[in-house]
Amino acid sequence: MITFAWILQLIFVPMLSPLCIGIIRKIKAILQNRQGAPIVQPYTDIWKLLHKDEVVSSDASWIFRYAPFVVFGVTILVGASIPLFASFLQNTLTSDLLLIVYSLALGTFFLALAGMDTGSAFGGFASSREMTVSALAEGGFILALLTISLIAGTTNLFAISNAEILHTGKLFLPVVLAFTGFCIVLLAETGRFPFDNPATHLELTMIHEAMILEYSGKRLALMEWAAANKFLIFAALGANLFFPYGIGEHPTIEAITVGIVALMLKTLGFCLGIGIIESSMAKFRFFRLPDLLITSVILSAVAIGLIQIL
Amino acid sequence: MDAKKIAQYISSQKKAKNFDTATVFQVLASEIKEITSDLRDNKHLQLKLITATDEREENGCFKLWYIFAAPTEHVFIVPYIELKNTEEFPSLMSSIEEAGNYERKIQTFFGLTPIGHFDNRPLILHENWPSDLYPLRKDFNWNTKPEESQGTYPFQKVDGEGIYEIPVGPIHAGIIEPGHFRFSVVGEEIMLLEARLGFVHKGVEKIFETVSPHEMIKLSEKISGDSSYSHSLAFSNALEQLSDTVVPKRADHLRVIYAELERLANHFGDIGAIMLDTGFSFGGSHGARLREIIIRMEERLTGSRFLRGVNICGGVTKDISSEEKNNLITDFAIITKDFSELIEIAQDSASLLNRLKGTGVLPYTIAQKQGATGVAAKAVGIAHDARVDFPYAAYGALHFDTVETEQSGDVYARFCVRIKEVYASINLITKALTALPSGPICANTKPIFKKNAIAITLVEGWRGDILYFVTTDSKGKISRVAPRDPSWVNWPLLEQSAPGNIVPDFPLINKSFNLSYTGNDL
Amino acid sequence: MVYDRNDEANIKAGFLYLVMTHIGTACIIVAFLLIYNFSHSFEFETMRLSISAIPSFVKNIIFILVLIGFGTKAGIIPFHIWLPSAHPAAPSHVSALMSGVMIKTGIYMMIRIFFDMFGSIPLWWGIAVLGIGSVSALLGVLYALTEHDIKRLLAYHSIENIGIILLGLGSSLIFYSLGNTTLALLGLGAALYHTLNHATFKSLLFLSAGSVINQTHTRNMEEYGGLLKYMPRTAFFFLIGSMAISALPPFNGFFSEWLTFQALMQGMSSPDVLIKSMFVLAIGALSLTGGLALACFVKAFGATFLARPRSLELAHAKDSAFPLSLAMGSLALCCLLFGIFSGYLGSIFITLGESLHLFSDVSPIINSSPDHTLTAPNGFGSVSAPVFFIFFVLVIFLVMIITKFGIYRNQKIKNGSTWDCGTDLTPRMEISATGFARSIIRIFSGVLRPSIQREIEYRDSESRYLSKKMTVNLKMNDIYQTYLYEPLKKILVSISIRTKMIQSGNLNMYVLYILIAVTTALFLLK
Repeated sequence: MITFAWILQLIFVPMLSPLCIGIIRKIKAILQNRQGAPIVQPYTDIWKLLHKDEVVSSDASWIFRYAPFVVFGVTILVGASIPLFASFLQNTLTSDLLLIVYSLALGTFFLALAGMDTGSAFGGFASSREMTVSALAEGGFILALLTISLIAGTTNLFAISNAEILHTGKLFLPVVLAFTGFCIVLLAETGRFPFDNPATHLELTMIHEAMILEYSGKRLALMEWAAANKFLIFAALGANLFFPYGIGEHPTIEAITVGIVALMLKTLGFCLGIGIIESSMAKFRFFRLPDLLITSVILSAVAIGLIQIL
Repeated sequence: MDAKKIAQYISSQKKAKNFDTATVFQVLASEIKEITSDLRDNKHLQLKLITATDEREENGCFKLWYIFAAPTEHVFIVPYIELKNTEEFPSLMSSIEEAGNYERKIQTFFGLTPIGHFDNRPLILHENWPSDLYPLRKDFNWNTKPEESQGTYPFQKVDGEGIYEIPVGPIHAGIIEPGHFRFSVVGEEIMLLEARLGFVHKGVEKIFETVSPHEMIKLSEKISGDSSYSHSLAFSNALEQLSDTVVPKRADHLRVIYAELERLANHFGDIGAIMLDTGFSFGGSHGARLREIIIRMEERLTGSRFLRGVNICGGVTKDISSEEKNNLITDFAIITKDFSELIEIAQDSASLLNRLKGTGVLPYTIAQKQGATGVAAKAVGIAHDARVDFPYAAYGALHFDTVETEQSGDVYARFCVRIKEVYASINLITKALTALPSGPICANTKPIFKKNAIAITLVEGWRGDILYFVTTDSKGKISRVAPRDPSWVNWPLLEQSAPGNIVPDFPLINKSFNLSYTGNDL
Repeated sequence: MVYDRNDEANIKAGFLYLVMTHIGTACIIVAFLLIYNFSHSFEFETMRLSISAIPSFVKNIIFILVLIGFGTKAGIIPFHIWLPSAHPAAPSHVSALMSGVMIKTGIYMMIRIFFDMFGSIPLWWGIAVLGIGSVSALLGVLYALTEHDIKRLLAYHSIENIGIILLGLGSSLIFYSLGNTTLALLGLGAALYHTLNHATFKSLLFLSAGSVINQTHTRNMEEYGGLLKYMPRTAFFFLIGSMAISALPPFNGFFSEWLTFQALMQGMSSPDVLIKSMFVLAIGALSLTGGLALACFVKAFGATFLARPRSLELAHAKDSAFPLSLAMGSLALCCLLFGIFSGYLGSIFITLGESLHLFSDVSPIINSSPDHTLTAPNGFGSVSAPVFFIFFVLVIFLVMIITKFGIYRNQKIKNGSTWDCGTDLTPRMEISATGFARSIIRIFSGVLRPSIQREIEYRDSESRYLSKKMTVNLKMNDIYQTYLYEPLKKILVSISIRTKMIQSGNLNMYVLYILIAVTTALFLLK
């Protein structure tokens, strides 16, 4: 059963992440009075891209050629190292909070380098924007997760989602505060409103899309897929660390099923939230984004302060 | 026309010739600088167009026309110079800045050199066009296919360490018209923006020389797709002036209704698109929806989504039945309510307003100097509107006399001007519908054009004023048509309002101007 | 340092270095003299024994003097100003040494004095060190972002890393004064581990940067670009160094920062509000520093090695010679190995601390049977570098195999030109190093005080149409220069002017001065 759970854990994120993107797009379409593409469209897109020939810029180096594998590989690695549907899995080797944060940074690092590698002005400024946003988001990200790990007394993510105190709903206020801070980081790191507009065609306003502008074929498929994985990873972190209700605590089929359903429901919540945000508000002006990220740091800092007082 | 009023603009020594709305008089090349600056700076006339005509066959000279508008008198004052045995003329650049681009265009298309101009780079025509071939000269055959030539176009450069350039276009990620923008930036801050257009040049002015008047109206509709109706209206007006055709009252009213429908459709589209470019997709989709309602209405009324084939010389081809009239009035009541609900939501969205306010500010002085027109001018408080200043069709009869303005000159101001104009347009349409007189919709005469005449007409399209300058030769044949789209005047303003903003805000600024590429490139 | 005598900037840098180290040395000498006053010996052993006799007031003064003295040598902010101008002046192999060893002597001596000489540590010492560490780390990386001189950039990163080391030291001091020796050892171990790591990756970075400078004859990153194609090995080593210094796993920088984070996190659970908030601030500073360092090295690597060359001369660049490549290669390997064996190294460094005087009466608390996992005490966290590394390599390898051979084998890959929107791309259309960091600089404009100056020359004084020449100058106002060193200089100058009165040139006056000095000395000795 444990082996089965581990295999499921390994393929869970890449298998389901395109679905999340499809759901978000569908929700947005509905909210904007459109019919929208089918929910499975991202799968067919990836499949289509995987079967296309590629054009690679002659200015590009091996960084450009290998970055998609690193970026995608990192999301697989991280996806397998975080609690998804089962907290009974023990992983003291790679599921440390900081290791996850910095592994994701490793992906960002190569993504940004790949953006600069072809020498296009779009890729260059997109990398600059990405690094600006992610540098500032890192503080909020670490502090939000630290709040939880402080409550749970460990930085091991599986241990956190297993922690008794989080299941009992004690310390609700700090958890909610840190969660709010985390949500801001989620929007920033996954390139969502109000930070980035994944649906825009205006190259001057893009962040993520302009970084992968030069990619085509298989490599583009990997980049898109990696972005989808990253979204599901963040959704799972938010769902399972802050509110680990429903997560499978025992190695039984029922527990795993309940865990998967709970995770998908919580992820659906994230999708719904993002759909509403992206339909109902304007993207922020670039230099207002730091204010938002600082807010996330402050929220988590307050949450840490509250832990003892409560 | 009141001769006394005109006299104040023209020195008594000059022999002036009067046409319907224009008074032309010849001046010496040596005086032109002084006279034009006097007209512009002391008499406060607006420079509307500088263009040339090649009259070497008939008169042995090129003529350069300097068209000024006197809004209070509803008349155009047109000094002109003749270039005999010379291909040079004095540049007005140092006294009238906005003359610069007109002169560059004359240089490119007529091969006449403005002496004293700082910028001798060709305009509209690109490096692949031989630099010694001037397409608007009469001896250039329209179907000549020249060899492709090579060359470079020097862009302006910003010195300093760390400055880099972002080239955007002519091919864009989205489906928009082609234009090249060269940003010199420090990180995200725009230091300099230079636009290079001309990618959709199609030789409209040359084609006008080759087709029949009926086809000319069709051609004028193709100059800028979203302003089809205003362009054909301006050109039809010019033909009517040249042939002394009297347009029936009902046609005049219908023209107002159609023109305002076009304005509505585009303003709805723009209001939506401005919101969409900030990422406010709710507003974006509703703007597009409202635009579609109007466009379908246009199709219902005239059979064309862009009101093409409606204007002819002497009136219009499509009538509005009384049943349709009542439908329209009720439709507009619904649209008004629909629209005001949308605007209420938009005005309540803090994130949207934050993006709009203070972005892309166009300074008043620059707008004034460059002769800004239309929405861009109204947004800085320049209250010029051809419907008020030079009433055509039934605007005078309907007593349309207010120009909607804003003061701040930013994206928000241009957004608000559009909103106000939407309400004004709906009012106008309802008013025109109620006052719709009965009678024919088209004059029944075959137009015969006066000989050696000129006609200048101005129509307020939704972007700004569209000007047509039309001349006939000694046989009464139309010899030159020079349309001037408002985009031509406003493009340099876009360049001026970008520096100081950040790169990701530029698409929004661009959208708030929403200028036509094809109207500029002709 | 004053290697090239003819360069004025070099001489100035050398002089600044001389002055700053002298001030530092003066502080150190005074500190030791104060100790000598009680120990009557410069023997470390004797000094340690007599340290308890020193009143706490004097101890505090000694602490401050030692902090300033050795801090200057280590390059902590605000005594860092010699460092960024010294590095570019020195040849690259000297820079590598300076960064790897010399500034570490300051750290070494601080550890020696705080942990090996004093028997008790007041709480505020740790808090001060933690504060200085946070400031140095954050400001160091921010200043690095503003640089486009590759060696100054690396020099500022040394300051940042010294800050990170001080975070470990500071937390250790705080834990010690709170009586939690386990955590004190953790913090100290983190600091020591990071010291070693910094020496490896910074030397690697300086050597590869030196190689680039050698080939391009400029330190200005704005003139680099596309060097990866000409210097593939150097680029690869620089990339490894960049990843290590940005604390990306599986390289060594991550694991020492992980230990530092663990130490700081444990401090967050302190009940004392002041200590807790200090630790929260330190963690905030460290995580922000990590993010900014990542951005900075994307900038450094991207601007130097990626895209197209920005100047024609770069086409002549050749890769580093074999011996240099070998040196860089072994350092790069160290970066990886020190990471992979972090479990062993971490526990070695933690146990190393136990031998210090401060921990002499502490029985070994940390599990001294090291294995491949790096573990924090109290079961707070653990991470296994080898597992991560193998997992990482395996996943990427598998993804590559599957996409290459599993799906659509006959995929064709065509070479094309970069998307240019239909125009011709020139080197001016690649993002510049300054441009890359400009947004961050603008966001932190409160600290960095950037200024922008536009000069426009028009064709005609009346007309604003088409400028003839437009120049934009970007400047950074150094706040230390304006608010600390400039006023200090002014005071010094004014004092000098006052004291000039004494120097009358009259021989009799000088005799009088000598007489006064001698009598005072005699009187004091009595």
